[in-house]
Amino acid sequence: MPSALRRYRALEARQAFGWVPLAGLLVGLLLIGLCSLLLPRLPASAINLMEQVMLIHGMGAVVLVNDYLAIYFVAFFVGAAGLMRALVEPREERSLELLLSKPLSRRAFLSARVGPVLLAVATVGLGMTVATGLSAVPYAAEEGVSVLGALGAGLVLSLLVVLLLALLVIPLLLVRDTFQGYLAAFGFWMVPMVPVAVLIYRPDVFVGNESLRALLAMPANLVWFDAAMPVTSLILLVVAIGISWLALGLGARLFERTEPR
Amino acid sequence: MSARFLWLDVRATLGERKTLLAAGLMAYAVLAVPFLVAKPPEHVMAAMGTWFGASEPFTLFLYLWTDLAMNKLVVILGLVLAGGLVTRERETGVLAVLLSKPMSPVRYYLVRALSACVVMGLLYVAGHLVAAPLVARGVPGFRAGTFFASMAVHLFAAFFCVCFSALMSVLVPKRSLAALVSLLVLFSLVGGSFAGIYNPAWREAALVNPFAHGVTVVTHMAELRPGHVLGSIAVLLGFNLALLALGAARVRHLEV
Repeated sequence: MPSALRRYRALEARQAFGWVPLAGLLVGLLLIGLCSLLLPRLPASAINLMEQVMLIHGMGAVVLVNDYLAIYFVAFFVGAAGLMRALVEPREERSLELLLSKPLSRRAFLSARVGPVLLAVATVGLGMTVATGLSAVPYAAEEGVSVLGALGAGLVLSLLVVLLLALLVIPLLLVRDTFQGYLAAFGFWMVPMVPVAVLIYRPDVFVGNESLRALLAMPANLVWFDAAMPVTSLILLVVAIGISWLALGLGARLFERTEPR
Repeated sequence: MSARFLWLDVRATLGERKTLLAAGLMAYAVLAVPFLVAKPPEHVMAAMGTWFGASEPFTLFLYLWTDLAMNKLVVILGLVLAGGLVTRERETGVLAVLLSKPMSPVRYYLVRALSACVVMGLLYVAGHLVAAPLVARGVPGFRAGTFFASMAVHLFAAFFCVCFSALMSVLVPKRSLAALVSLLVLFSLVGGSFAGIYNPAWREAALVNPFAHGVTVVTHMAELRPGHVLGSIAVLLGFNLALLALGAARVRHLEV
């Protein structure tokens, strides 16, 4: 790699690891701390309801489900904000043309801008995963809850977020306004949450479709298959890298054909 | 002049593609919520009885409509409508031109924030007017009065999202960071809307959260009095005016 390109990549990486992931990580750790602090203080009836609707057992599982939601929520929006800064804002500010007038291919630009954002998201996910692992420690004696499982599930969610964000790059290359971008991001974030809403309020839909339920009802399923989480996270690592690479390749081809205005 | 500017800005925003996308999200809620409440499990209905003093299909509907759909929708719409106020104009280089008109930055900020509230209000109320007849068919025991009373109060929580996003856009130096802070703070507050219901011991403390006031019609569904509606609207109006005043104070010192 020419040294100028290396320096450019380093500059982009420094931009991606700024205040956005730091603020996200701080809020994320705060939310996980609050889950551990507040959930055990809820009345037994509220905890029972959460156990019944999510098909889980014990306070440890209830705390973990909420921690998992926090990871999914924070990591995703940290990434969405990072991608807006990297891809949509320069277009809105009419600075993209100027950036691309340098001897820099669009593919190189895209990978230098998106790669570090995805890495920053993974770092936020990892930090929150460690905190989730710690929040599982007091409940490790409960059946179906383990520190290793919590760490694995945190990684699974972080990787899922990276994968979703890599796919989100494609619509973000098409919009000219950050707010359309945020609406697209919200749509991407919401879709994986639909099955768990169905699980809670319309469990009849999944009767006879137990394998579909096991696959889709995130984050409850991460607790159901606690023991399998470490292995699942390793498999998903390969899948997420592969699909992200494909999505970015597709994005680069699309980007080469779009007007940078 | 401000009135004409407000009118032009509302009209321009209504014509933007993001507003169309936002209306699409509203339509999605209209379709999804009646499906979710069609066959609730027994333990969910029992919880409705414990929390809201009634376990009818309409109780669950209003809870889900407000908490699952509208609470999330207003956060994202607030950001979309007011997230880049003033800073977006500054970074795209048009702010200096706009402020060369006989209009102070403070007035510009307030008119734009008000315009975002008007668009939010139009989308929100139109969504409810379209939803009501459709939902009334799908949800047995649908009570239009309670539904629109809830809309009237929650509308001011929607305005809170607009005012908060507008404040963040002038308070936080970077646009992406401002948007992230808006999303994280507002979604976290939304998550605590019903904290005082889930644990009655927290009822008093939960009222520092504006969204706890936004859902007041849901929490007092069984014995709703005009005082609940008007009191919560007054509290939310206070929150919103405070946010607007803070934003205006900040804009006064903003460099163009």
